[in-house]
Amino acid sequence: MSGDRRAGRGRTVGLVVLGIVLAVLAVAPGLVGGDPEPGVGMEDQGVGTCHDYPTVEEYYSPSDTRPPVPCTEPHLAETIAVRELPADVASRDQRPSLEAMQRLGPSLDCSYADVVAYLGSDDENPHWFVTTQVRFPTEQEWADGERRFRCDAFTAVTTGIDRPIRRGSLRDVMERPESAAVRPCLAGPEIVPCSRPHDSEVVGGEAPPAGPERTRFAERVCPEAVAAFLGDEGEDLVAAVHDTAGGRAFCVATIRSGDPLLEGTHAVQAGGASS
Amino acid sequence: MIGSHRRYAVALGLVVLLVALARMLVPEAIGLSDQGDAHRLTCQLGLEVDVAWRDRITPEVSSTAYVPFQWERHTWYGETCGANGTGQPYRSSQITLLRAAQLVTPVLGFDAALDLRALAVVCSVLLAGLASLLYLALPGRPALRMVTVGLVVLALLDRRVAGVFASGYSEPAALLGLLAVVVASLFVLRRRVATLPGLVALAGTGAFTLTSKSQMVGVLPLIVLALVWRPSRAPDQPSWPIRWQRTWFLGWARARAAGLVLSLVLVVLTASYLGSQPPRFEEVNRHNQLFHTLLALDDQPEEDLAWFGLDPALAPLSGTNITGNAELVGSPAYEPVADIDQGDILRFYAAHPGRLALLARRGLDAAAASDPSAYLASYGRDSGEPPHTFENRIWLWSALFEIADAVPAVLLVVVFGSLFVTVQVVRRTDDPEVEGPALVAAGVALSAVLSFWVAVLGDGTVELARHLIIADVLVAWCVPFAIAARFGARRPRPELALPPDVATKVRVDPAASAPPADDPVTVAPVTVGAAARYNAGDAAEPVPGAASFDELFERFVANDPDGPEPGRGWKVRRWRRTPPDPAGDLEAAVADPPPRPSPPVAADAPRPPRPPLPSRTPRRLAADVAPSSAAAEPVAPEHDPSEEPSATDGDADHDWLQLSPDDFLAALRTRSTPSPHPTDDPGGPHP
Repeated sequence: MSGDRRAGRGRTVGLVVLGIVLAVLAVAPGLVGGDPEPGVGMEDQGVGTCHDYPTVEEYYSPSDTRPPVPCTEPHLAETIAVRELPADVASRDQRPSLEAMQRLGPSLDCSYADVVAYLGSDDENPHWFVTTQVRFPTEQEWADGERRFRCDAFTAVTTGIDRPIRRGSLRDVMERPESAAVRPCLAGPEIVPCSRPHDSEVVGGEAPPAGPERTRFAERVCPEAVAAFLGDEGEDLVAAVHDTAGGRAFCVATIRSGDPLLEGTHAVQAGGASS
Repeated sequence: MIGSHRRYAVALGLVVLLVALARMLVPEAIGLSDQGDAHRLTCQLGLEVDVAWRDRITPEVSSTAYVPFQWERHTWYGETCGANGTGQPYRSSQITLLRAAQLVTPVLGFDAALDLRALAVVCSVLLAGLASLLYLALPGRPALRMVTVGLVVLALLDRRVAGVFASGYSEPAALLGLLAVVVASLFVLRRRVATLPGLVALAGTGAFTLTSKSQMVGVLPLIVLALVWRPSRAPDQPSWPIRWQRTWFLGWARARAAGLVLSLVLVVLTASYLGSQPPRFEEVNRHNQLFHTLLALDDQPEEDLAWFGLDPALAPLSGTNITGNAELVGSPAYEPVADIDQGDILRFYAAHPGRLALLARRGLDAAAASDPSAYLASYGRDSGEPPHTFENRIWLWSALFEIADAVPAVLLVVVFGSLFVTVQVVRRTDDPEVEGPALVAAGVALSAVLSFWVAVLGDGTVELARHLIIADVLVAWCVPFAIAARFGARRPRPELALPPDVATKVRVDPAASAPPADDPVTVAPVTVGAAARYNAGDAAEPVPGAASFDELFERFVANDPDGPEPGRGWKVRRWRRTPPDPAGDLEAAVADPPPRPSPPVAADAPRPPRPPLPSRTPRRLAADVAPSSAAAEPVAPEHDPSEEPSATDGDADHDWLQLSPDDFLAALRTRSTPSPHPTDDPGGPHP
């Protein structure tokens, strides 16, 4: 009988232990979870580092510690400046809320002028398809005293079904043929990167509205700008003012009627004529 | 019968498994598309959705328009894995189910790091197992049990709900956990004395459920109640200090020590879990509750904001979610909103009861919505279905909600009707076999109410219909569990169990007189003076603390019937109500406790009808003990409890209680059969 009693107690204890083990196995993974990798902090992501965001979540995150990639590999963004946050923001013990950061971003010193300076563009050699995005320190970095933000430039053109990746650095890119990816061209009324088939390449600024100014722009300003833009290599192209799908007009260097479409840039700044 | 119950349970589990698998996977897999919440769980497993970057931001082909079944490996860094765009981790026991699905994905031949169809398989297997256990835990005949299990399972496989079992949301853990809690509660509450394994199972399933999502905190009080409702050890253990036995609370607490300890663990775990919730959730829920819900319930946002001490300039935020107006939400005027807590919200509703009533009405409308997830989808992109298409394979309970969509009060009728029925059952019986299922059914109804209010007051009216899915399931469950509690009481009585010492004296094998091993029956009156955790498993061995029959008898007589120990008091009351004629109704006195005493009735007043529960069925005492003499015994007259002495009839009680042990045994041996009591057992006396 005592053996039966021991067996009964053993069975009870066994069931209890089994229950506890199962409960721990069922609950613990949920409580522990899996934490993301810490990645690379702000201090190691200086000017000139390139960043890839394979997922939408990474693209929209207010901070970024994903390790930088070489700029020769596919990437979305490139850091063009790292600056201190304004004093009233930097003085806070806690990082601002998501909405406050969202509100703060456009007011920070990370603008078109920074992109112009980094790419080497100007009025005659404008850049398109590049915009800026601010990355804040993570909450942990903020707690550790980091108060700088990252000003990133990224290409805003999607390619196929994939994310808007590019290769190569944007630093002084306007002086290289690869600048075709950020130079504006026209395929009919649509503005496309010059790296895609096109019939015209945008030169200089936007044409004024219809009227005497427009006429003067078309007859004098635009041809001079195109000549300077093409240098000696542009005898196959002619200056014109083209209207775009958005109701705007630009001075362009366009192909003659019947000529094949172009790819790449003809800007002399970028090294001359492409195909 | 026991073997057949097990066979039925296994067969039922297999049927549920096949139905669930077919329902989820054939002819093409269904699930629930992702509105963005899945990432916070799947990212913890190092997974990303296998949908092209551009498709994700294209509404017609996004993960919201089609179910993203495939997930691939990905390494997340920094704050990219967390709640709503933050790095704040979101914990849930759903991770366990997702990990299991991740493990079986390659086994099932799916070509992904995680395929949500594997999660559907995992959930189907768990559902089948729980259905089998539920069958075993329910009272009543097989047909009733099967109907009950079927209705419970169909509520989970209904088109309103089933999609979550192939999704990245945390609802599967909550729903399956709730079902497991119900099963464990039945096993615990259907015994007069809870077993330690049963309590551990209840606490474990409770922990799994409570950590599935913060909304489940509403069921914590009910799980704690279930843990401490039954004593987990005999209250009259001789080893106890006398002073403990004489102090009611200490005796109560001591008898429930295991349940109390496990309750404490659950409370601490739940508090810790709630404390670990992402602060971002708190921000979002506060905004939703305040601006999207509370202000929008009336057209005086400036006054309401002033009530909270907030800047009236925030009035344009009325009716918006937190991302709706980042300019204003990110402004300095919004910063004091962080000081508003749930207590302030509740105080506002207390001061504005009309607003609370309006909120309840909105919640009821949302709970009754016929299509709570209509903006999502059920099919994968390969199915060929248009985007945002919802399946309609099983719609039994959806039919109820279609009616409720037109008349939301139907849900109130279902919940409070089932609560009324189950409370009536509880009031009319002390038999744990009857009382336990009724308590569980009442708990399901209360859980529906609590889940409703936690969702309404926690998330506000943002996506409220979808947040009320769990409350909807509990509403649906009210019906089958109320049916099981009400009609499961009419079950064939199990064989009479005798205490080992009594059985030895009458030369009956104690094991043979024990209730079936898989039928959690506790025949309480036979625990006279012995440890109360006498059940099938313990029948073959002496109960710890049990004394000889003479000792028991003396202790029994000496005990104060209204003494401090609830269990003892109950037992004594049973014996005190027993008629003084032992030969006339000994059987009922031993194993068939009469209902609670009726209120005093005047001599000329009409006799009140006998409460129908629990049903009276014949005992097998005579057949077991003295089959040869039993057949010759005359049929005893109908036992009428209204003729029983009331609890205050002390003289009659003492006459009976002063029987000697030998007289007692003699009465046992000469007991007649068949029983004079009406029976529901169609088979009559058992062989």
